[in-house]
Amino acid sequence: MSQAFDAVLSEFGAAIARVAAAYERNPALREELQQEILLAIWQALPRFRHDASLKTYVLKIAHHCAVSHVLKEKARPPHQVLNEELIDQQIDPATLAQLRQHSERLLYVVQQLPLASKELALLALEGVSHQEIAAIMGLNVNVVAVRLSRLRSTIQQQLERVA
Amino acid sequence: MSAPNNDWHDLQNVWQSQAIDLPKLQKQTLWKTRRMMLWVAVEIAMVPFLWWYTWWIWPQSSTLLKAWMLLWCALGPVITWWWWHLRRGTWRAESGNLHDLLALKQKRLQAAYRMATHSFWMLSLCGVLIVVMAVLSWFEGGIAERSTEFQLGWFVGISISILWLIAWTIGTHFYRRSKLRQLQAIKHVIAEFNEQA
Repeated sequence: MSQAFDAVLSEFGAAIARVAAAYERNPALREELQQEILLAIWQALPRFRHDASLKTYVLKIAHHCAVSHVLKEKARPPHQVLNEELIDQQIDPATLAQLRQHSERLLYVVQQLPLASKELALLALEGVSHQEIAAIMGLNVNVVAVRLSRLRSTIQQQLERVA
Repeated sequence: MSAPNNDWHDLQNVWQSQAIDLPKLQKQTLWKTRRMMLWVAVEIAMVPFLWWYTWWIWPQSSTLLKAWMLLWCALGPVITWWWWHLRRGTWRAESGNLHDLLALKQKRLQAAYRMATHSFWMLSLCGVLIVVMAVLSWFEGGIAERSTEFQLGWFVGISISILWLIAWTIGTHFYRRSKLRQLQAIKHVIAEFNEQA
């Protein structure tokens, strides 16, 4: 494995796992999806032309891969599978319990979002700027701002509903 | 995090508080990439092996078997190149947005479905041709007058070819069906995406 890929894996491995979790609830299939994404990135890295940030490039491939995975998976589990292995075990128990609740609720809400909104939400949650989101999604920056504002309200409402 | 996304700050913190077992992920990825490289090496090695095998059995082969082996000697490198090309080109779509990707996937699925349909009928036709050729060579090619040992070898060769063709035809049928299902699914996703966008 190349050094560049090792660096990508160390830096964006967590973000890739979160994208995979947002698209696939089944832990075994999620692991498979993570591998698919990483393989796709491994294959695509030599074509990276630095016209966007590496994070944007990686997240874009991750989304495309996740969408392809969703299309391939016909039977999806009807129930929520808790995301045990995604929680960092180093945090103290009280904070961990709170985070578990919050992050699991947020993950659940994101998993329920329709495809077009899910990509937007995930990019925002990973801290990608409006400009970069606009470039990735082929939209105007103002449109992105409006949609993000609307989407944030929807997510907050859904979080309150599942609280 | 960029300034315009500040209203997402709390949600980002909660979202990014999820962590993963990176060493496990690295180990799995290393294994998978090595396995993929090994497969490519095996596929490439199969071509010279096939050529060598053809050369080795050539003196004892019937004309039919010679023609069959020559066909695979020619097809071997083409198939290997095609698989390699398919793998390499899998993620060319990273330059477009999600809508472009869906459109590209739909196009690819349509092409794959058409190719599978053509292959299905071609393979079925090949099967019929082999049976016709076998019957003709039995009666017209004088195989009926040859020794029992020769007839047995001839029969085994023909049977393997037919069974191999049947297996490929069945495989192609299922592949075609799965592509059709995926095509229907992607049409549904595109419609859903267009409604939301």
